[in-house]
Amino acid sequence: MASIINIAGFLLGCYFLLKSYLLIKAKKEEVTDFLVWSIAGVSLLVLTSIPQVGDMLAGYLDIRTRANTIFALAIFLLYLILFRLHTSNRNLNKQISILNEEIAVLRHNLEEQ
Amino acid sequence: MKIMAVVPAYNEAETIRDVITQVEKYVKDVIVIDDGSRDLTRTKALEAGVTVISHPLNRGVGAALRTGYRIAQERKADFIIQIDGDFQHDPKYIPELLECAQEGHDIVIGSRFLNPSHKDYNVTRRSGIRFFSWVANVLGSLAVTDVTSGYRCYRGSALKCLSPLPDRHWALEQTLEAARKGLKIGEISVEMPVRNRGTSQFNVRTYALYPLRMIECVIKVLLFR
Repeated sequence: MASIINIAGFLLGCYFLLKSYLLIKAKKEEVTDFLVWSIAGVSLLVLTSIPQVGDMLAGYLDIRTRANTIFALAIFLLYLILFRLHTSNRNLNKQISILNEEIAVLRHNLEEQ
Repeated sequence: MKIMAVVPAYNEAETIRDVITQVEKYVKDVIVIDDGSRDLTRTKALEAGVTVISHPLNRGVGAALRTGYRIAQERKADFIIQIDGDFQHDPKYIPELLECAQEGHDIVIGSRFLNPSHKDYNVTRRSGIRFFSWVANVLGSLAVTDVTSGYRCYRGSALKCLSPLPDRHWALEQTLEAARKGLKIGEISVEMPVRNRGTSQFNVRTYALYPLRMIECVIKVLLFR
């Protein structure tokens, strides 16, 4: 019999898949968002409907329990997302600085003319 | 010989005009980089009759200096004086800075640690400056006492071989890079009392982030430049 956590995971998986479907429906070309939502949704659906997959993963990764495996994978995924956010934030910051300088110099040149 | 003064300023309406008047006694070509001030810094500087370049956003002293160096290079300045707009740096030392640069130094730093004025600063800041100067001395084979000082004189050609400054915490990075590229760095004694007008850029956040930024800039210079 399915436990409450399995049902909650299943519903959350369905919700994530719905989110990815809504992205397609709205024709938003956000491929990364779509991949994150759909991969998370499919993973949750698989892990909650076929619990043996979790056990198998735990065995491969040499982690004692299925729950710990899911947490470890989630932390790894979050780490990747965080790193991606950090790099894009750093690049945007650099671009803002360059634009800031360019605007200042151009404005000065215009004022001088 | 063309000499230019670059004055980075952020919310310095109270002092900027006096600074410009004093600097103009020694340098005719003064340029103020207003780093997105929210007060009347730009207006006051324009009233003083100097070139003012205004950043639309506040990005930090390093960003202001980067713009200043760019203009100095476009105007083909032989020597560039860098002096803060808060009156913490007394313009009377400009001739001495220039003299030292003309003697063959690529960068001359005005040091508050070669006279008793550094004693006015709190222990945390004093220890921090001493520590970072020690880091620069060890890693760059230097003998400077005040690596964080923003009162400097550059030879125009020296600035060309340095990488663009980061927006904030630029001093250690620039000094270390200059030392590792073989530029000659000198120091003169400059009295630098704690500022008594306007608002200091130093707050708890700055103090907390300073060591981390310093570690980052040391790694950047040692590995990537």
